[in-house]
This record gives sequence, C-alpha cells and structure tokens, in this order.
Amino acid sequence: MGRRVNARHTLPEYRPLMSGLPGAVLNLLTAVALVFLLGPVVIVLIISFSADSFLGFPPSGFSLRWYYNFFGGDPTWLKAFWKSMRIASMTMALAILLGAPAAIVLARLKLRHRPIIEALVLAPLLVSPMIIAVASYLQLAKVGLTGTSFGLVLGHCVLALPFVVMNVMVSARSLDFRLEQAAMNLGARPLVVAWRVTLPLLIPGILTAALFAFLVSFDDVVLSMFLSGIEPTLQKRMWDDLRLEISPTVAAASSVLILVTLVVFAIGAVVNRRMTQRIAGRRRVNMERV
Amino acid sequence: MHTIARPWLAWPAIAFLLLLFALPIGIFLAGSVLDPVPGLGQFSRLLESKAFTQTLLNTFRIAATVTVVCVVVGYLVAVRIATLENTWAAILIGLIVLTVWISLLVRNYAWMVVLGRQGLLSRFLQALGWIDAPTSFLYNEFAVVVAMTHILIPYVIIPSVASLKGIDKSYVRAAMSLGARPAGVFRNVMLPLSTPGVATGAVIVFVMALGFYVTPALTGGRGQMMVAMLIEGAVSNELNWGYAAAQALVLLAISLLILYFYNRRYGVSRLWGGA
Repeated sequence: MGRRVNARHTLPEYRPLMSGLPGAVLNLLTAVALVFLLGPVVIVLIISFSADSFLGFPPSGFSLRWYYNFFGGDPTWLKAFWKSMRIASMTMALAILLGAPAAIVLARLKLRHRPIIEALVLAPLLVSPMIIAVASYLQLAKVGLTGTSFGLVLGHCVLALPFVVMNVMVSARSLDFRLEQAAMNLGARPLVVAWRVTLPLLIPGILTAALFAFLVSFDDVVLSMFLSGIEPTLQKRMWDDLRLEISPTVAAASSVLILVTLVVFAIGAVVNRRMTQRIAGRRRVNMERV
Repeated sequence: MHTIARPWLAWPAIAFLLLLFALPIGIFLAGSVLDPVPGLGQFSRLLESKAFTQTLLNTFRIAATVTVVCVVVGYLVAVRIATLENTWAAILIGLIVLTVWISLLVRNYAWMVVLGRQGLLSRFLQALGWIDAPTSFLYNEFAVVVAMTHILIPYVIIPSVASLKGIDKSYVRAAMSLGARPAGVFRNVMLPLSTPGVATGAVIVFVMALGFYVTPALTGGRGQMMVAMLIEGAVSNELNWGYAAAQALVLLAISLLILYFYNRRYGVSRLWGGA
C-alpha cells in the first residue's frame, strides 16, 4: 500500500507509472521545483518588512520603513509607479486595438503570406530585447520620440503584440463561426455581427490578452532603460537602485509589483470565469430556442 | 467563406510591426556595414576582438547549460504534472504561469537576496557549520544559471505538459494491457509523443537565453559577460552604433539558424502553442 501513496491524485491510466520509486522521485522533484519557483518570491515579500538597512535574510526585525519610503519618503518611487501604470494602460489599449483584429484574421482566413505574417508577429518574442531597444532608440531619436511616453508606449506595444495576437487567436479558433453565419444569414450587416456576436464571444480572450499586454509593459526593463528619458518607469527606477546601492526599498517596490501581478491575475480569473459561464448560458438558451 | 473577418483588419498590426520593429532593426543592422564608413571594418574588428570571442563563448556556454537544466528538470516535472488529476494539474500549472508573470527584475532581485553575503544560503550554510564567514554566492556562473533557470524553466514545463496531456490515453491503456511495464510505457509511448513539446520548450529557452541582459548583468561576474551586455556597452559607452550592430547581427544570425533547423524538423507554427 505504501507504494501507492506516490500515485495519489494521479489519472487512473498513469497510476502504475507513478507508484514505486519513479513516482517518489518525480513527486520530490516537482515539490522542489515549486519551492524553487515560488520560494524566492516569498522571501522578497518577507524582506520588504525588514527593519534592517541592508540586504539580509532572515531579517533581524520587522518594520514598515521601506514601504514608508516607497509611498512618500522618496517621492521618485511613487512617481515612477504611476508613470508605469499610465504607460502600461496605454500599451494595453493600443496593443488590443491593433492585435485583436489581426488575430481574428489569422484565426479565420487562408492567407497567402501566412508564414511571413506569423513570423513577423512572433519575432518580437524571440529577438533579444536589447536589440529591439537599441534599434527603436535609434529610429525614435530621429523623430524626437525618445524620452516621451508615446515613444515608450510604441516600443512596449511591439513587445506586447505577440501575446495579444496569440491569446485572441486561440479564443477566436475555438469560437463557433456558425453563430456568425447564422446572424449573417438572418440579415445582420457585418458590423452588427462583429459588435453583437463576435466581440461578446471573444471578450474572455481579449481580456486575457489585455492583461498580458499590461504586464509586458509594466515589467519591461530594457526598453525603459533606453526610451523612458529623465522620468523613469518603476522598473527603470528599481534597476538604477540595484546597480548602485541595494536598499530594501527595492523589496517594498517588488512587493507592490507582485501585488499588481496578483491583482491582474485575479481580475483575469474572475472575469474569465463569469464570461465563460455567461457565454455557455447564452449558448444553452440559443439551443433551446432552436 | 461567411465570416466577418476581412484581410484588411490585419493591416494595421502588420504595418505597425513593419514600421516599428522590422524597419528599425533593419536600419540598425545595416549600420554594421555602413557606420561609420561602408565596408566590413566592424566585422574584422569583431573577429580580432578577444573580448567578443570570449563573450560569445560565455553566451553559448551559459545558454546551453541553462537549456539542459531546464529541459531535464522541466520535462520530469511536466511528466508528473501531466499525469495528475485535472484539478491538481490545473492548480500547479496556474502557479507556474503566475511566476512567469512576476516581474523579471523582482525575480533577479530575489536571487540577489537568497545568494548574497547576508542571504539565506550563506546563513544556512553557516548554521550547518559548512562555511565560517558570511559568503556571497553571487557574481559567478552558478548564480547566473540558477536565476536564468528560474526565469526560463516554465517555457519547458508549459509546452511539455500540453504535449503530454494531448497523448491519447488509449495508447497508454493499450501498451499496458499488451504487457508493457511502466518504464516501457514511458519510453515507447509518452517520450516519443511528447518530444515536439519538449523541443519547442528547448528552442524557446535557448534562443531567449542567448539574448539575456538583465540577469547576467545583476547576478553574474566578469566571466559571465554576455553578448547583449556588449551591445549595450558599445551603444552607451562607446557610442559606436556600427560595432553594436555587428554584434547584434551575429547574435540574430545564430538565433535564426537555430529557428531554421527547428522549423525544418517541427514547423515554426508549433511555437504558437500548438502542442
């Protein structure tokens, strides 16, 4: 019986595979991997409450001094935070406006140059951010857009587009296109179909894409180094701190960033669930009517 | 085809990427043979430069080490996750995806805290009596590989789980009812059918690792200088755009070569998440 313990919560087909020594080893490895992935993040959260003025773990006492420093003691932190929020929101809007329609086209139509278009959309993910940053800087400087929020948004939008297109494409592929056909056969004009049928069905995918676009912009360091100008984004402000003197204010800033990520994820999960339920509900109603 | 999709809907995104991604990179790279004077001067400087050769070697060594660690550990973790009941698998994958979205800088900082002079590892080893004085484990290859693995391992786990989950379970049942032992099921069914997922992860990790900047800059030492850091130096310190472009061209050419071979074997469209 003891051997079976390793295969708990395992799919029935795989139970023989996971009982015994291999299962024990894989369980241990997976647990270690999860601690490895999540542990450092937890440590940063703990250290942000440290009372020490140097980087040490475990801290000798606890205080809120680094949060005080982040939220008022040193005004540059909060200023950088709001700049990042603004840039990320604008990037999100622009990336969705550009990316969502393109994703629908890529999911639906047979395109002659599909491989080239796919490569172009995917490329920003695989090209080193340093190369994108340096190249964008060179061109944006020519039109006077370096150091401006708009220039930074354009740069971040390049990074965010692959995520937007991939996410919307996945949900556009799973969308039942007969619903659109039915609406058109019943005489709805394409714009009405887009607004009343396609868009509502794609909202979960678009929302996930929007959140990813927000986080891509919010988390970028390298482009911000070159394009953000005198007023740094939060990541740039942290980077400057990490290069010079590492004060635990960075830990407080990191905790704020982790919190933002968690909130964005939670919003995504809740809204996605509601939307999926609503769409499923609507589909059921439609079927009953038929 | 009756659909509201019209080809022109994709034009704005394509135009945007051509204008703000492809064109700037093209112009920048053209600088390698035009700036400051037309010719191959920048490349001959590159070939003669010991620093560049060494940095290129560092970059390859680090990227290869990270890829091997990510593939071996990541695949085994993926096997365990993919064989779990769906609810548990979803929870674990959710946690792993979450770490991907925690800021890269935060995660690098976390490793600076863990591996630093007053960090967890140093204090732990002191408590065990293995080391006598506070010791920094930062600014060496170990720190860079650990931090980069932390950032890149999800890119192996996620496609591998998708690939493994996609295996038709009747194959597994068939193999077992025909008398295959668990090891045989793994070797002859699961491994071959999930190879594309692992290959995708490996390519993504290796190509992304080649272009890393933040992690080696924060957690590495002199011996962990990587190409992206040289590019930054050529631009920020030397203001030598042509030299930076020549280095970038070498880096991009290597990435493209890897993607070309991957494409011939598996098809690049797999990178889109098709397991």
